[in-house]
Amino acid sequence: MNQDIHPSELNIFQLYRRSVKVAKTTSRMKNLAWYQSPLELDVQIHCYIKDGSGASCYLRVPSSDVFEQITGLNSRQLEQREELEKFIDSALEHEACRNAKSLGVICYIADEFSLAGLGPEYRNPGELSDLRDEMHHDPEEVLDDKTISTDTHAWRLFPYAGAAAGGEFATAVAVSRRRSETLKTLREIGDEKNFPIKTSALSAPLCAIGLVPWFAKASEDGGVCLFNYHTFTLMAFFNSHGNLMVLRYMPHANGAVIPANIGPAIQSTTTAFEMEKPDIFLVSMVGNDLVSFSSLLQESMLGASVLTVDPDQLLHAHGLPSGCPLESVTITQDVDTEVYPLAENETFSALRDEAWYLQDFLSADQDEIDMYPDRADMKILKFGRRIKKIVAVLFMGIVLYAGYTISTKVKSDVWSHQPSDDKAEKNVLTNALKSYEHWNNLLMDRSKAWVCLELVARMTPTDGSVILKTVKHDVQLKKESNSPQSGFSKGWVITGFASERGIEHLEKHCTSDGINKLFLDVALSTENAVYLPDTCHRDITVSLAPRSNPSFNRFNSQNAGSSFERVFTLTISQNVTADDEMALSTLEGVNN
Amino acid sequence: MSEHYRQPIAVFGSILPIVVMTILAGAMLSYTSSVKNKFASKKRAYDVSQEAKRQVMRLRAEVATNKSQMDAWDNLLRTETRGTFLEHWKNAAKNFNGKELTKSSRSWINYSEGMGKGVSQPSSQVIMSFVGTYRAMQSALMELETALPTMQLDSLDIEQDGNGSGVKFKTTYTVWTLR
Repeated sequence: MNQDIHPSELNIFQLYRRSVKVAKTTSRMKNLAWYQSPLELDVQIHCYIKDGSGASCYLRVPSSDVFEQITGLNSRQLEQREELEKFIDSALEHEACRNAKSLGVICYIADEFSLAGLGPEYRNPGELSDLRDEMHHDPEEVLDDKTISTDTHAWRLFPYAGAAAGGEFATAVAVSRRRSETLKTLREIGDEKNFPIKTSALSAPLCAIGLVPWFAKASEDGGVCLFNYHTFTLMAFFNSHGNLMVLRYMPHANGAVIPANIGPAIQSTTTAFEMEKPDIFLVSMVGNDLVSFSSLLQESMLGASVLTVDPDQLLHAHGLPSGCPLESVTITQDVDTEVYPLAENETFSALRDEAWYLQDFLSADQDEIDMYPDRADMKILKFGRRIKKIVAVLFMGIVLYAGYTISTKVKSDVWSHQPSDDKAEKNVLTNALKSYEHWNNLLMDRSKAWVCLELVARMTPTDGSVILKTVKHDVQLKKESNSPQSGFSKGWVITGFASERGIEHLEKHCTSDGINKLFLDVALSTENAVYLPDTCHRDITVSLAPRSNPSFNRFNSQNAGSSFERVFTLTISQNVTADDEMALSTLEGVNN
Repeated sequence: MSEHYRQPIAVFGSILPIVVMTILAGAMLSYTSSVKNKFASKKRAYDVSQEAKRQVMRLRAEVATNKSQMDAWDNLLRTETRGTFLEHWKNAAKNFNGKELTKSSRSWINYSEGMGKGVSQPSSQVIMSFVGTYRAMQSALMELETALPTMQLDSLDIEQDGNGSGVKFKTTYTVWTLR
């Protein structure tokens, strides 16, 4: 993808790819310096362009407390990329720059300055903030003079906090765009080296105004500060509170170090502002000898005190080396408002807090800015990466969970289980079991002749006191409707002859306990369970009917029975219900 | 501030991957859910099958326990005839002489008027008369009834023999048959 194509010509996916490429191949995602002001960076080069000969350069490394002059750049070098690259490399070789991760280049434009008034429609100080933006992006709209060039000059707004009500509350300051290519080249070198080089072009006179609290105090009659440069002198008029009322600019004619007719110029302005004997401060910003200038002013402004500020003294007071630009005091030093109370007034508070004198006149244009994603874009991209990582981890978790779940289930016996048809075997086995149960029921020892004989035998005494005549035993089923089982009853009708003793013997069996004992004895001795009397589904009844033997003949017994006094009929009945375990199944069995 | 890159980064850098991964995760979870449902269904069938197998095992054990008995009964029911019945009686009575035990009559009918009446299982009835001593009769009947558990006594009549030579026994048995 061509990195020179403007993003407006790329589709949405190409834009994303460019963003990713920038994030991967440059340090713009990790190095915050790409998005910081040059004055916020630890390694700074301050370039002071005081005239057409070139720039004096100073290396400042706040962390190492370094502020020293380095090799400068002449006007030819300022326009050559190779020379600028060498200059940067050379500067970064300094001991204090060993771990430099970025570089800030601050240019003080002191070789050119101009002022212009705002259009008549802009008279509301409340619009200052909006005007500042509009001046940056569309100066022609704001300026009173519509013929001035915005292509060759960069315009910024500068406020007059001490302006009288209804008066001019701000002015437009212009700086030539001549050095914009130099700064752009420096930024491009930074892009190529993947090393943030941030630039800022400050107007040296505006920075100089920030110096005022360090050497001046508010005066009843107001004050005038004259900042003398090579090609012009800037006049700043302050009211009795030390607030800036107006700036005036006077160019130097024909190589002179002071402007012609500056005395009348100051006088007319102070008169206009009703300043009778203002304090006049004269500051040589580029090393011009201002002794004659001071005398001239003293003559022109009778009664006013003219004070020449000693630049070296100011620099030394702040630990800066001699010869370095005075404006750097404004830029690099924090002012102590207790020592310099003027710094606390409206003008200087606003200049500091709203950074009016730090306005970058030669900032990168929108097209250059558009070529790379900005800090917010990188943050979103970084956030997106984190989100993607989190989502990817969650996704992997889900994949692992799903994989484990599916794997364990698919590998289990349950998953591969093929239902076998056990019904046939189960039916066969069930039928076999039913057949067994059926025959086991049918073949139970519920009615056996030999056990019946045992019962009769045990009932009859062995001493001859009882002779049996007939024994009739029968078994009858007792079918119950709606039941697959059938109970039965067993009956014994026994007749015979007995003596009185025999009857007594038989009567022993004719009680509930007696007959139950008899049946229990038979059951235990024959192991025939149907004779067990002690279940709830069985009952046994017995009755004995003795009577006199009609054929009894004590002395002449014709047969065995006639020798016994009594005859008897003994009836025993055993009922087994359908719920008894010995009950007979009436259903047909299953053929095995 | 340039916003050329904001939307593409948001779309391709965050939204699209999240949407895609969410869809994939949803599909994965959906598939997992369907597998789990299928597994639950299979598990139910598996449990039923295992229970059926356990039932079959229990049935096998029960049938195996009863097999020898059932085989003996089955053999008895399949091989027993009126002819073999006579053999059993001879075996039971061989230890007694004619004075102790004599069979006087035997008759068969092809149905039962005793215990077999009203029972679905087919049966026949045999009526036998004997003359003998009480203990000989009891001993022979015990041997016969032990050898032929298919016999169930319907009635037993005992009375003195008229000529005083012993006791008369008349037995009526229901005999279970296969058909």
